[in-house]
Amino acid sequence: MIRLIPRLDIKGKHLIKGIHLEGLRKVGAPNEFAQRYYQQGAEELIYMDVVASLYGRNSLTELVKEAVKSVFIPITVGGGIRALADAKALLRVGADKIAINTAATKTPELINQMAKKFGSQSVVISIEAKETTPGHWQVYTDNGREKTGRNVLDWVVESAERGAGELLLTSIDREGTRQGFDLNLIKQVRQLVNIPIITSGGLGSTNDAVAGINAGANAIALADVLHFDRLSLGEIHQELRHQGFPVRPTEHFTDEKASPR
Amino acid sequence: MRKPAHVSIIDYGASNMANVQHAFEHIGVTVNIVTTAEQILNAERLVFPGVGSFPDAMAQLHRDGLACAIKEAALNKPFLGVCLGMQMLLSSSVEFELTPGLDLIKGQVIKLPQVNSAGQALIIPNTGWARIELQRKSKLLTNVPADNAFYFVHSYHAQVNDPSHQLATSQFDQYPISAIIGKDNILGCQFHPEKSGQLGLKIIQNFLTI
Repeated sequence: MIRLIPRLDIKGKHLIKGIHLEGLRKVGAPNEFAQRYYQQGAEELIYMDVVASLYGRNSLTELVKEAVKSVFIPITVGGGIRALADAKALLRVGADKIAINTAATKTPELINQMAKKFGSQSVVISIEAKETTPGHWQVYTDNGREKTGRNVLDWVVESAERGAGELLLTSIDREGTRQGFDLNLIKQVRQLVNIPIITSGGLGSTNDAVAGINAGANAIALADVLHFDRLSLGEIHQELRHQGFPVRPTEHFTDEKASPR
Repeated sequence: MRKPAHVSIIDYGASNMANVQHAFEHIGVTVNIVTTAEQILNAERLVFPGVGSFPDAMAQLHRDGLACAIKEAALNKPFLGVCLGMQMLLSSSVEFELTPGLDLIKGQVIKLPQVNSAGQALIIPNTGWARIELQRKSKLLTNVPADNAFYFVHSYHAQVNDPSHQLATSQFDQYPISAIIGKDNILGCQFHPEKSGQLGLKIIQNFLTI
């Protein structure tokens, strides 16, 4: 079944949303949004500390610890995770998967260590891809601020070989634009790896979701269209169902009326 | 209303321990966290979580002296293994290296098939929501409709020797895999009921009736 994954980019205590991962705008309290998306039928959630790399630590432990008491779907946490101990602390409070980006590009061996220690299914490699020339993407970190010199297509293969269990593939070019996913990027990556791909960056319409899945993504991350009420999870589920994709039966979602707004 | 229910969750460092605890607490169950052989043997109703690698988790159980207590306690108490906690109920696993399990339900933990019969590579880990199909009657699935979905995330699966121990299956591409296994009071879910929304909480509620 196709997974819809609201992505909560967090700075300090605030859910924020930027355009091209640059200018940041405060949207609200992350856990209120998490609860609302859970009630509306999200299949998973992503909590991303977008300033963690600047400070060298992930500050989401308390938020996640609180969220998992009332949100009963998987939660991936990322941002600023540098060592096994950081990952362990987050898993222990209730994160299901850990997304790593900067630390993995600097110390790829961390992927092997995490896979061995926690299992591949807990290790998500977050990749910020920027198309430098048509059909060529470079790996960036720190929300598109830093170049790594790595080629995205080489990096996805290396990540999978080292034991990554999933890819969170973000197109920096499309992030916040609502112009649709970078479908060529998804297609290229799909041909190279057999681990699940979460596509992120650019969803603006229900058709974009369908196109992302057809290109080879297994799950769809979405942020501003939900945060600003431009689209609902229900509308996207419905369109995917209409197009013949397997989706979760809606009658088992929590009553939407109970959702705090 | 029934009297307030209690469960004991075995804590040996498994990373989904907190989430399993929250799910039970959310439906009003009192949770005891148990860490010693003595506590396990004194418990009334046991939950055995697990995430990660089979050899590491088994080694941890042996190091803490819990494996024998779990084997003994599971014989006569309602017992629910979750994910890796379910897989460890079996005789052995081939994850990384051949490792003996608790051998409470005969069978092996083996790798998910990598390709289907059409030669297409399958996406592994098996990550996401899937429908489960009831194969035997089980109280664990009371009021769970045929149109359902539960959250799976795994690369290995449980192959039981006796088909009557496979209570529910789920399709992995074209292959049916064990979603729930059970033998008398000993039950195990490959999926994560603590991460499967309202229906997952229903399974957790149903466990209290075992």
